[in-house]
Amino acid sequence: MSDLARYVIRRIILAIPTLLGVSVIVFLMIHMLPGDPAQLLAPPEATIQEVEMIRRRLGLDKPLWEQYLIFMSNALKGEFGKSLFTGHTVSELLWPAYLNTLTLSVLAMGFGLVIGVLMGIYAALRPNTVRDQAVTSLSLLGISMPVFWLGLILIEIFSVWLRLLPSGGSGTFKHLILPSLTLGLVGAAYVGRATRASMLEVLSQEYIRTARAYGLPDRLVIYVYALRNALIPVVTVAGLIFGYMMAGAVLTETVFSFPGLGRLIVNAIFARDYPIVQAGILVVATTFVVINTAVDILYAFINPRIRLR
Amino acid sequence: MLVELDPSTKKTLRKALRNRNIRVGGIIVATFVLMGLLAPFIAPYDPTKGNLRDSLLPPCSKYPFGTDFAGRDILSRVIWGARTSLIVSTVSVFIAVIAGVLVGGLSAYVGGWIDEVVTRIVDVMLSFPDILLALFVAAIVGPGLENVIVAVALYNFPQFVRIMRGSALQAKEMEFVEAARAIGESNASIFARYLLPNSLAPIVVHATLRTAASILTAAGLSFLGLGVQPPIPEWGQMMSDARTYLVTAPHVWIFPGIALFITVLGFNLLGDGLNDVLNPKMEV
Amino acid sequence: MLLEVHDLRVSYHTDEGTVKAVDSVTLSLGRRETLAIVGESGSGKSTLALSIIGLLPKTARVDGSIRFLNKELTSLREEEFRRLRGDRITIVFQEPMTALNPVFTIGKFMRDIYLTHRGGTEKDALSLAREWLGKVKVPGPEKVLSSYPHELSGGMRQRVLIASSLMLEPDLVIMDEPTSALDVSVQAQILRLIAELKSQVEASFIFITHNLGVAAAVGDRVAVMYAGKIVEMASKEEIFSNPMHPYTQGLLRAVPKVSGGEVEPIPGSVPSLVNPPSGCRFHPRCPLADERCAEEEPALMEVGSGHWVACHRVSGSGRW
Repeated sequence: MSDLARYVIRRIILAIPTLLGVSVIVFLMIHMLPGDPAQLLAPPEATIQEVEMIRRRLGLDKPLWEQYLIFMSNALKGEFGKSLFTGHTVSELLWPAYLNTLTLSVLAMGFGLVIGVLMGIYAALRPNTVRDQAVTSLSLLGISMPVFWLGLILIEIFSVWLRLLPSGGSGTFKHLILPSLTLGLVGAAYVGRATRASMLEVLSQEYIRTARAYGLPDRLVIYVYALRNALIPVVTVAGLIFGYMMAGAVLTETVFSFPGLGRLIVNAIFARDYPIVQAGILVVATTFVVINTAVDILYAFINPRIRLR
Repeated sequence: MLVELDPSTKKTLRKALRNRNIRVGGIIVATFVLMGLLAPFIAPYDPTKGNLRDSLLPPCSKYPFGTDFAGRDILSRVIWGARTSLIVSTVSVFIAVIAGVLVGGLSAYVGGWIDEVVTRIVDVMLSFPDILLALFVAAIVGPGLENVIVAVALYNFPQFVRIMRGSALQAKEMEFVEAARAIGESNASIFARYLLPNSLAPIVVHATLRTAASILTAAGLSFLGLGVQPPIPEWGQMMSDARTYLVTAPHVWIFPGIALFITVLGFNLLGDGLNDVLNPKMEV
Repeated sequence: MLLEVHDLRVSYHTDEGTVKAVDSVTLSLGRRETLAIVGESGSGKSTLALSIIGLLPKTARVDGSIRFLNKELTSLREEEFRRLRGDRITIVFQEPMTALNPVFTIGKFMRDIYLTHRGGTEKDALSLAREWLGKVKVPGPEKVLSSYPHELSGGMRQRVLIASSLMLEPDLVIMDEPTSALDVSVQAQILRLIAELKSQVEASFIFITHNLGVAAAVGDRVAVMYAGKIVEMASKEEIFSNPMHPYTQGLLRAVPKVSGGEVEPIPGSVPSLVNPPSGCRFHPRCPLADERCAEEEPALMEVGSGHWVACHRVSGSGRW
């Protein structure tokens, strides 16, 4: 087996205990809540007999480990039970919302990566000049920006004043622009910082001096020899930022009344619709773990050195 | 000054005072802290009592930042909001630092299966990205000031375990630690005398940056309605019904947003500056 | 003359003050000649090399003149200089482990050099690269072309860099301590390889080392540098049979001998280049120093045919 294949397999195996841990924590949620789980999972108007029925049906009278096994085997089939109030199954509500959030995050990631990487390179090429300081300050502003406040400002500008884009809702591409720009700008700030730091580090490396010593033109040295190395750590940062976006979507979706997963989770928390809360949080955390694993694997493809480890 | 500082501390201090990020960030943070501490004396009105006849007034000479729907003075609420943010962020970060330092340091020092288990748990906690862990905790414990503190502390905890564990592992390998162990120095003494001081710089830097993140997260929870509840003034919560006032009264959410933004910026600047001064190897 | 360096001075501004890394260096190099430059670290020998190939950091201040192929390099436009680098002047650095880009194959690196300076096709580039990898005795050139740097040993990487530096038949090759970072056994192999290649190519060489023994093995002439200045320069034979500067003599005693015997290190350490000693910079460490050495800087003077020394005790002692 090649080093690369071995690395990929090892990395995937490493993610399994983490995912199990996540599922245990999410499963335990219902038991960490004050009160009787069966009561919590029963509709508010349920009688004592109905609560007992739910207890038996959901296996809440069984030992904890058995309950976990039932929870997991259902979760792996994509079944999270029924919403306590709406009459829908959790899956019916979960997947469309998930798809919305995923679209939003991917689009935001696109904005973030393009703007961030360009900003980072632009700054790193002239370190400690006005333009570098401008980029550095701008990134710091972006990182410090409350994402929901930024969203409100963009709505004020583009929806209220300019009347160019809708202030909320979903359905068309236009509805996606402001929310993804909001998330993407904050993401760009992180990507920009990471790219700048990494590019500066790489530009001081000996192999860059070697490339210059052999007369390779700046274009080649910067955009191929240096950038390829500089992007390696940025890929890791991008994985983390994607997770940030999935989570940050909770706030952005609220600002834009966007029917995503975050909005679904928050509403479910208010309604004490715990099956939805559990499923939603499990799905976001799982996506995050899967993406970071994928990023690590991607990392091995762009960085030949890592395959040895 | 009566305390005589040793030369290296003096040098670091001088470097810190020359650092622009530290200076600007420091001024912002100091203003924020003073605002929080002195809120009762500087706020012109009671932040919780409003006059319904003055509901949703735009900024004017009587109310420089205008009023909210209940006719409460927004300036006073912004000033008192600093106090809420100050309490939530410092208490939660403080708890997380203490717990993280103990767990992370011991885990690294003891090693073996305990370290393995701690690392796994931290990995699992870090699998809940950003605000999600706090949201999860808030869903369990419910809203309210104390509960937000718990949620934000838990959200910070794994970060500090990881940092402390990392730098303690490094310190553990150093010769003077091995020497101290060889001459029979007690574990507690080694921990206090070598592992902790060696980890201080990254912990201080990170605590500052995490304070910024915590202020944002706490405000986020409150914005969602899962955090600090009215009538306690809180910046995020003050913006929670902003959508209603997008056209009619943007001042309702603009001012608390500015306060939140500048405060977070201040902590980030300070953290970046401290990082430059305390971890010179990270400097470019 | 292929290269003429005249009164070259290189200085940097630092927080501690101005560092005069190279101070009034004058030397020349003919075609197919090898000049070995010897000095301890901090003697300015690497700065001298970087100034000839135009790779000094932008903060460096360069005065004096470097003429190469009838061009004045100190005032050459960067774009024109870039065309010289890798084509007419090449350099092999000390540290082969970090000198190659970790994410690209050897083949890509060598191909880029060829395509940059010669144009032409990828096929021509790779076939020339393959040919030169053979000349530097890399086992399996084809496989090396598709290897990443981390898959090769330090010695192999240095061979790759030597091949890259000779591939386009340059006029001047600078080797900056090319063996210092390698294992002792590999050092000998690389030195032998360099000696062999020298006879096969038309290039002139500047070979920088801290080891006088290595300098003698590869150089036609040897220049000894101390604290930014050349203190003695002569033919290889002359340096060994008739070393005149007390520093050169000290270096000779410090060379490990095959026959064994005591190695005598020179007492003291290389002086600060920010605030160098007055007079002769070597006087604090010199066994022969007197008051004049502490006050007056000795000039580099020709004391015999092609033998230059900067020492009061030599010119003043009337040995010539």
